[in-house]
Amino acid sequence: MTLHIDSVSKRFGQYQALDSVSINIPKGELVALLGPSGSGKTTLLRIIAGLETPDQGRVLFDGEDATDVAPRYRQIGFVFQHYALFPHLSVFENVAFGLRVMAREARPSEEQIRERVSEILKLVRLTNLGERFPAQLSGGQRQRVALARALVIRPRVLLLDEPFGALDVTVRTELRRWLRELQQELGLTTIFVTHDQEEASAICDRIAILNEGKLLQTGSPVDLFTMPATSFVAGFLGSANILARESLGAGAPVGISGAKVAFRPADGKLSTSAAAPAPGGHLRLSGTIQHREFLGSIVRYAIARTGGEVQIDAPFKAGEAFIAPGTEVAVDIPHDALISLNS
Amino acid sequence: MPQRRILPGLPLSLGVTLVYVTLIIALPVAAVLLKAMSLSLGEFWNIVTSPRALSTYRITILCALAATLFNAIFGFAFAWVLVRYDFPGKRLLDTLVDVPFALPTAVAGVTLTALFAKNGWFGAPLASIGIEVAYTPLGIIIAMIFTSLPFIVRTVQPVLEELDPEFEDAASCLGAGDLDTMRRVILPLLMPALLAGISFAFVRCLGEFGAIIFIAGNQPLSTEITSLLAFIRVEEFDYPGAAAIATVMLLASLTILILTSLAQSWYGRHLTRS
Amino acid sequence: MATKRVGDQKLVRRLLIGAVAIIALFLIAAPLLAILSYALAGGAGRYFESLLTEDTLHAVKLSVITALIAVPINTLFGIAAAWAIAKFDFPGRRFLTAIIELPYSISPIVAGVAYLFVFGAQGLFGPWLQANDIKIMFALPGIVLASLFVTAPFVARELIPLLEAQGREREEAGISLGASGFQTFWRISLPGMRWALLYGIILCNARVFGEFGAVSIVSGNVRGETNTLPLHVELLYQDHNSVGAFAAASVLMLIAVFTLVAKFLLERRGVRRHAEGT
Ligand SMILES: Nc1ncnc2c1ncn2[C@@H]1O[C@H](COP(=O)(O)OP(=O)(O)OP(=O)(O)O)[C@@H](O)[C@H]1O
Ligand SMILES: [Mg+2]
Repeated sequence: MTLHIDSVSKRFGQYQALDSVSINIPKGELVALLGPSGSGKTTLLRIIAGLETPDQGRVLFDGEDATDVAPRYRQIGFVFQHYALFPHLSVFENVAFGLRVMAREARPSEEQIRERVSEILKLVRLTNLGERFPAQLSGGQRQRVALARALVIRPRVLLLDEPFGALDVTVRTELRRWLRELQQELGLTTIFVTHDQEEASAICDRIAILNEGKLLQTGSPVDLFTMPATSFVAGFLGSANILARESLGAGAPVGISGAKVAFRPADGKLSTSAAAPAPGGHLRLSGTIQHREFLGSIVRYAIARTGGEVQIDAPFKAGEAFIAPGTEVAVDIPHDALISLNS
Repeated sequence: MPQRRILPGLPLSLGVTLVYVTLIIALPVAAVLLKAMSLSLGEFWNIVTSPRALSTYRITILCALAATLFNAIFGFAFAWVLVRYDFPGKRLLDTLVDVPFALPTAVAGVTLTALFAKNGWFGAPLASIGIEVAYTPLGIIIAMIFTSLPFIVRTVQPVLEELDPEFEDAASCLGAGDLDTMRRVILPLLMPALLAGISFAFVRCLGEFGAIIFIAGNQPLSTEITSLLAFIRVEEFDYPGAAAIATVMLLASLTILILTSLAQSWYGRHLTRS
Repeated sequence: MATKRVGDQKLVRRLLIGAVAIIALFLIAAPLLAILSYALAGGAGRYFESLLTEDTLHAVKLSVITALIAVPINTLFGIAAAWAIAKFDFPGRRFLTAIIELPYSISPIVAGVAYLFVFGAQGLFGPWLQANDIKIMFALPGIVLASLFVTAPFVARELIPLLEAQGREREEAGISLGASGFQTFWRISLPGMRWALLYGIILCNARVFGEFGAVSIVSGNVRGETNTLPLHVELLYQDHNSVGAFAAASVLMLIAVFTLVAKFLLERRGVRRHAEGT
């Protein structure tokens, strides 16, 4: 199902939680909603599910206005941030819940319920845990029960609110890959909330960046990484050095138009022979090494310069000496690695 | 856990506690049982199954069941209204819940009797439509309702306050209507608290004295409650009789107490969330 | 209000609030008004006249004396019990807590009968007490003892969960900084529990003043001698002295209202709210 969110605004008291957010999601797409804590991600999902009413704007499913439809009639699979599994029901009954509460005409028979639940439990690889209670499950298992419970009603849209937020890194990585495969297999239109940019880039078709209730930019992970529109997006999706254009002085290349210029720490090349001229097609910045962090495959240097500190990631090669703090260095950035930003 | 104790005062505080509990609580309770044991089994049985005693159990238990049933519903609704809704006068209503607890039972007893007597504020209009409350089992039930109401409200209320709204959100996303959500999600989650409140209220109804004796009529074989029978036996200096009846009351309370805590721990095993 | 929760429909809401408010008004608020109305039925003059009779004043005095003895004793006991149970682990902790809470579930009549079998003429210590000419039953000591029994859990029950939640760190910090055990208790523990302690004391006090069943068995009900206030209310009521009974009842109601106000204020200070035994 396609999902249209049409200039949705929501205010809690004085606080503008969502400010005219619009986004279209074609059928079968997995969109990551990415933003810092409090940016309105959960609020947007709750509005899509009908759990909150927007002050302005509309939510359309397949072109039909669903803004005033009650949640129970929307057929939306919602996986809550903290799962909200019913603690008094077994895994099986948690999953069966959505079937048992169907209107009598539509409700499957006991046998069909058993079948459908077993099928879904198999899909989420929990076949043998049907009799357990939520309290007896690990975090990853709870997560999958929550997903199974949401899937059993054959949702038209799947909404996942930081589904892996409470899990440790290895489980996260495994589950997110599995989730992506499952989503593609089912062809389910899905919104996935996270504030982990790596997770978003790893599995999503598109990323939507939300900050302070405003949708800043949407696009494929690669587009957002290489062509961020604002310094917030540039900084949020991977790390970036952001400089005011005038601070570059005469060295500013002609192609740069915005008020600010950004580049990725990995794109700068460090050299200690500051006397040598900059290679052609490169922007040169010079400064002194302030601080050094060894991060495994790279070494991150902080370089103090007039006009703002920059960070440069140098690949680490065993046996190579670190550059000592205090050393005068030059940083050369190829012109095509410079991103111009409007704000 | 046998840990080296850094904090002081265990011997003193525990010593004081044990001595006090033994003298003030355990010894008197044991004395009732001892006294009852001085009777032969046959004598004991004759006393506690005499028609008059049996009739007090019947009236006490039936009235307590009726009052508890009423309060299970009314107390639940009361807690619900206090937690879920905002309205003018809510604070006052919340404070009213504790009145039956703060007001001495004898005062409640005489006041309810005066209110429901044939010439009372409520008794007069009720009498005109043929309902008699004072000096009938209905009066006993009303007195029991009055005294045991706070226990159900105050056990359900905090649990309802803590109930995560996401459970309801999840249920409605899954297609559940209000009634289904109530029946399949909210009520089961409140059940342990509700059961605790119900059983405590019931125990209190069984043992209540002051609030009831004024309004009950106290006719042997019809409106005489068990605690009054024990009281009468004392007044008659029939101490073995009093001991036997008191033992029955004591055992009834203890049984309900133990059953409740078993039920709760059984229920709690599923519900404990990490 | 953003989210619709179960029961938020206007009709349901109104019906429930209306039903609860009406029943509460009739069942709980009306008796309070009735007490005043019956007490003042003969005018303010008769009200004060009945309040100031010798017997009523004596009953007030006896109730006050009982409270002055019983409440401090149970306060000290409550602190000791809570300290031992909440700050230390020892076998039988849960069982001890259950025994302390037992009086909540025992009928006051059973409590009275129980004390009779300890201190009465036919009781465990009866012969010895008689031989030494010590009078406990049908006198002030019996009344105090019965009150101690019914209110034994009140203070302990308030403090145990609080002290458990507070843990031991702050006291351990005090000790490690060189304070003596008593200093630690006085300067660190006591201030941390003062509101809950006060709450427990107030509930305990209300119950001591109000206790009827247990006291009516152990007091012997001697007019002008062993009649506490609730017993005196009963006596006047049986005498068909309605104004006198309700005048005495109004004193007890005053204590109840004071209790409710104090409870309300302390709950606003964050003391865990609940009724006795819950
Ligand atoms: N029911 C509500 N009442 C008042 N304010 C609310 C409510 N729900 C959300 N907010 C506020 O709206 C803002 C956005 O909240 P939201 O939960 O959507 O953030 P989020 O992006 O999901 O954050 P997180 O990553 O921490 O989950 C926050 O400032 C929050 O405090
Ligand atoms: Mg959120």
